[in-house]
Amino acid sequence: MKALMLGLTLLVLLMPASAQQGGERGLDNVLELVRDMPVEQSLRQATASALRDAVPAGRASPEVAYRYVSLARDLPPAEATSALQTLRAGLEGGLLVDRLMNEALKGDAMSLPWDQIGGVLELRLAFLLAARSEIGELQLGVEVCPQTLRQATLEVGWAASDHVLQQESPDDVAGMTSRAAERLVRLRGAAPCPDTVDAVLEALTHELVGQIAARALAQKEN
Amino acid sequence: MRYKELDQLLHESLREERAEARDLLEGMEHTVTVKLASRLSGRPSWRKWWRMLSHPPLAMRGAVAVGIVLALAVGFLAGRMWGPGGFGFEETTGTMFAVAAPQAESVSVKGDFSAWEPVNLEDRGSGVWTAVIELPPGRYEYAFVVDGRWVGQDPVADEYVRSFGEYASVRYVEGDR
Repeated sequence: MKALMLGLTLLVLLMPASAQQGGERGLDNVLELVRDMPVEQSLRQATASALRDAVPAGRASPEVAYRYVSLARDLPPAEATSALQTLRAGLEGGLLVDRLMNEALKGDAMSLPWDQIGGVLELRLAFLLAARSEIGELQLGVEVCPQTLRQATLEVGWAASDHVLQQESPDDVAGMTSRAAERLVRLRGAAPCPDTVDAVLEALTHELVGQIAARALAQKEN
Repeated sequence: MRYKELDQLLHESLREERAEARDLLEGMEHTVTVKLASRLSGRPSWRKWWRMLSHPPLAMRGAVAVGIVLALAVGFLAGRMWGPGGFGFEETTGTMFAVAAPQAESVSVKGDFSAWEPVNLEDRGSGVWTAVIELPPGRYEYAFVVDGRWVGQDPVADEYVRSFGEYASVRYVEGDR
């Protein structure tokens, strides 16, 4: 009996900390959650397929996706559908979606209802997709690194939507542009391909940001 | 007294002493042999040692096993305490999150680095709650929760953002480059 007690004590002490805390989530855990979502099968399948592409490509991290899908799973079916549609649209749009999912988790951490969280997510998603479209149409003049271009696109779309959310008005294009430029300068210091960031920074004009905002708001209204 | 008479007296005297000591010397050889043998049995030869190690008694086997397990456990725990990523006494790397809240009962930080799950801060008696979190270079959004209250504006933040009507702080963690 004493030997058994000693063995159990040592097992607990020697067990890795990560195992004691439950460990990290993997893509399979996320897909399992998606499979059990109370939404239409076609949406489940499309989301799962998009996640299978995005996670290995570094466009979504399993830990954040797991938390987001867990949050969505606990919502009523209509809201769960909305949450999963937002994720699917971001993934299929080729975006880096961690920040989008984290925005929802932040709203949940503030104990906010989903309709409020979902409204902000829709606006964010619209700006990110608009930024991707507008920046994607530019001739940047350098050989771009795809992942850095995605990061730069995320920063521009996010900064513009930050400005709209804080000013509660999409009319201050100069303010949006200035905020986006600051974020790009920050990104430049950490991005693997600073030349790509420089190219986006050079192309960042009031006109470009105005087009992003107009496209985003038109998309949101549709 | 002549020498002849003296010699005779000496011989008689010695004969009497031998006769008196005979009882004491009886069994002396056996006693000495037994004592020497008992001393030698307390110091086993190398053969005896080898026999003991190659065929240890059951009690010794258990003691050796427990000793090895304890040595491994102590080594492992020491490695976790003082090795990289261990639960060391003073972290020297990572990003420090701190908030002064002397009256607070619980303080945590939530951020995108933890998928907005709370990470508890610790007050070591000064009223300043701290946590050090290893973060790779990047942009991190976070807020403190002090006794359940959202505290979004950290004085040392690089910038603030506001969505959902509440502020959150942003910290940029630089890389080596």
